[in-house]
Amino acid sequence: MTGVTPSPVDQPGRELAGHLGVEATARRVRHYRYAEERMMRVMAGWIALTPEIPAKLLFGRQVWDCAQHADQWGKRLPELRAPAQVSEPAGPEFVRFMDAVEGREAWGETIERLTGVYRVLKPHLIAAYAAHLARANLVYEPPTRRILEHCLADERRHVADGEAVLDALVRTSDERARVTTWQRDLGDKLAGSDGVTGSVA
Amino acid sequence: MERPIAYDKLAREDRFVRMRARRVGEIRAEQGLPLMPDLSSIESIRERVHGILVGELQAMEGAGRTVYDFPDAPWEFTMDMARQTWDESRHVEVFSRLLEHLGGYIGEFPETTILWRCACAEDAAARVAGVNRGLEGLACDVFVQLVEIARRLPDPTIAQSVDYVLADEITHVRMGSYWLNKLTEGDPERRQRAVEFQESIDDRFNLAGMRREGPADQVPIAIATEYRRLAGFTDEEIERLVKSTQRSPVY
Repeated sequence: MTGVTPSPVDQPGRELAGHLGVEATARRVRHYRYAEERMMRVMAGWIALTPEIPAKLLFGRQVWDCAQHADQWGKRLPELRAPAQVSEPAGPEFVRFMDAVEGREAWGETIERLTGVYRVLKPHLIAAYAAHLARANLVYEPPTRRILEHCLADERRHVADGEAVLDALVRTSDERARVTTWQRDLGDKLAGSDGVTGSVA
Repeated sequence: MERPIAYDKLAREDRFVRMRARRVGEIRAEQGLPLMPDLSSIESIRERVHGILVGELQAMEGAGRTVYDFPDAPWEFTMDMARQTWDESRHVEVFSRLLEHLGGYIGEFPETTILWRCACAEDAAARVAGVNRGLEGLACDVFVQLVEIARRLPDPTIAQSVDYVLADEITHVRMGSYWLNKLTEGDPERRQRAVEFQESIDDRFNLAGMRREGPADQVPIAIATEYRRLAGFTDEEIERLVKSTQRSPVY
């Protein structure tokens, strides 16, 4: 007899074993929501404090994307037996890292604002989302996977757009040094915080 | 970050020229010009578009600040304000391009921060009443008229792009109508304060009688009655606005 359809469970990658349980995933989702919500509010607040039009418009365009990410994570929570729309940082060190990102609010610190978001925070989120997506179960975690895929696509586009604006604003060796220094300082703070998930650098 | 920020902290590139609204009015009077560009020539349309551009810039900044300044507001409120921030960023781009389309450039005319000052209310209900219903309502009036004039010119580039912006503005007024009610539920005093704030803005932007009822080509700024209804204004509110246009010192 020919044409026997293989059972779905025989297909590669469709095993039922997974790396995060329901409660752990809900906690992770709250951590993601904290990062997206806070990033969204900070970028929104910076618009008025940023002189350069391209940077203003960059933040203005992306605030809504980040709000939607936070919203999607928040709506996923009740599906994981947790209260909706709750943000929770992974730990106090990650809060301090976010405080540092937010703190560069002076008019003359646009370069630092862009560096913080597009060279450190968003690349870190991309890495965390990608790592999660790589391990999220294909059988019972597609709802989480879909949000991860959406956020990843947006965040990658944000970084590309942010890099273009940053490149245009950084013209002198002094400005390049400021970018390098702030990227290194923030990177150190992030590494010391165990990141958005609280478990990876 | 400071919450809320002082109105004089609005950041600008050097090419912008900031001036007090009162001083702008004085200079225009000295030159024998009307208080607002009257849309009777391409030059006056260009000046009006420049004024709208800086207004949209301040609207984007204001919506962004509302997202930041009220972390304890309902999440759906934050979502609406985040959406508005994105909308306003498109409006800035639209009017920047229209300014180029008309042969103008940023900084060609002075910027006043009178709109921004209205966006600095410390209560979220007052801010949405003042900005979303007062200022965005004014934007509806201005844009309906601009679309009509552009169609007559004809300038389909202006007409079509501004018509899309108008559609967004109606949505923003509708958001303001919804959140004014929602945020002040069970608190009539807070609602009254918010409504009074909006009315003070309406009075201020009647521009010494320049905004009034009438055909778009016959009055400096025509009240967009039909679109205001679409955006959630009641007949009573529109009637009040029409009556208030008889008095208004702004500059």
